[in-house]
Amino acid sequence: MEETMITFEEGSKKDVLGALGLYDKDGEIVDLQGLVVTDQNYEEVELENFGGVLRGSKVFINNDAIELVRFFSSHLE
Amino acid sequence: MGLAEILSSIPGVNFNIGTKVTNVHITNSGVLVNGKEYGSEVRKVILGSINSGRDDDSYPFDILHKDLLGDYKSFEEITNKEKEFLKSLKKVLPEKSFEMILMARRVHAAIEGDEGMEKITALLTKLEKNFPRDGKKILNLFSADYFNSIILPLIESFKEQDPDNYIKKSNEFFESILRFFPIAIFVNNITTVKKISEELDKRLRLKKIPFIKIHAIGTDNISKVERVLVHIRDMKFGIEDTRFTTSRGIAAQVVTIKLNNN
Repeated sequence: MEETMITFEEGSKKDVLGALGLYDKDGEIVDLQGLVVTDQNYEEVELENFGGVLRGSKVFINNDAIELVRFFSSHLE
Repeated sequence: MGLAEILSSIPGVNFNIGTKVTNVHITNSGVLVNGKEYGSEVRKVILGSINSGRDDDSYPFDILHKDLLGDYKSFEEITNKEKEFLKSLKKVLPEKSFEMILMARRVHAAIEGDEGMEKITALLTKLEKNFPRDGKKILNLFSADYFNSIILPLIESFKEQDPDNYIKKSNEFFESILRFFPIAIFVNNITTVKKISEELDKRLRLKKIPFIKIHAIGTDNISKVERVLVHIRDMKFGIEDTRFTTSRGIAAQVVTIKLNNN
C-alpha cells in the first residue's frame, strides 16, 4: 500500500490550503461555502496555527503536538 | 489515482510507482520527493493532485506542517511499538488521563532520544500547560519505569481478581498514585530539603511499605537528598544509593530505603 506523507514549509501554507479547496479570509480558514475549518474539538483552526490535515478522517489540526496526541489516541483501537 | 501514480506520470520525474513510502516536502518554490529536488512545475502538479486524491470524507495521505513531522514520527513509533501497553491503559482510564500519558511518553521519548534541550523544553512546557496538575508526575513515572514495573502489573492483577470492577478499581488506583505515590519521591529543582523530609516522613508512617525510592537528577538535587539521608542513616534502615549518568550526561541518583515494618 502506498504511504504518502506531504509536509509543507510555513511559506507554502496558503498554496497547500488552496490545494485543499480552502482559503484565507482575514486569518480564518474557510471552505468554498464560507464555512470555517475546525479541529478535532470543533474549535476554529486559524491560518496562523494551521498544522495540516490528517489522513482517514479528514481531521484538520493546529500546529501543536497536542493535536497529534488526540489523533493517535483516537486511532489506537 | 494515488500520488505515486501521478508522480510516476510526470515527465522528468524519475519515480518508481512501486515505492511504498513517499515523502513529499513542499518548499516555497519547489518540492522534494523522497529527498530529490524538483522545480515549480512539479510542485504545481503535486498541489493540484492533493484534492483529486480525496474522496468525500478523507484524504489518502497526511499533510503536515514541517514543524510537526518529528512529533508525528515519534507518536507513530510509540503507538506502534507500545500498542498493547497503551491499549491496556486506554481501556481503564478516562480519555483526558490517557492523552496526558501519551503526551508525557512523547516528552520521555524526546529525553531518551536526546532530541536537544530546546525541543525537550518546548515539549515539557506543552505537557505542563495542557496538564498542569499531573503532567510532570506522569513523566516522572515514565522516567523511573514505574508504568511497566508497578502500574500495569497492578492493573492486570485487578483484572484477574475482579473482572467486573477492575476498570473502576484501576481508575481509583491511578488517581491515588497521582495524589500520593507511597513508594517513591521525585526531587526536582523546586523541591526543598524540608519538603523531601516531609514527604519521607509521610511514607515512613505507612504500614506494609517494602521500600521508598528517592529519585534525583542533577548535582543540586542529589545534594538535597544527601542532606536528608544524613538523618535517615541514623534510623538503621537498609539504604542502597545508586548513582548513574543519564543519557544526557547528567548525574542521577536513586536511593532505596528498605523498610521492615510489616
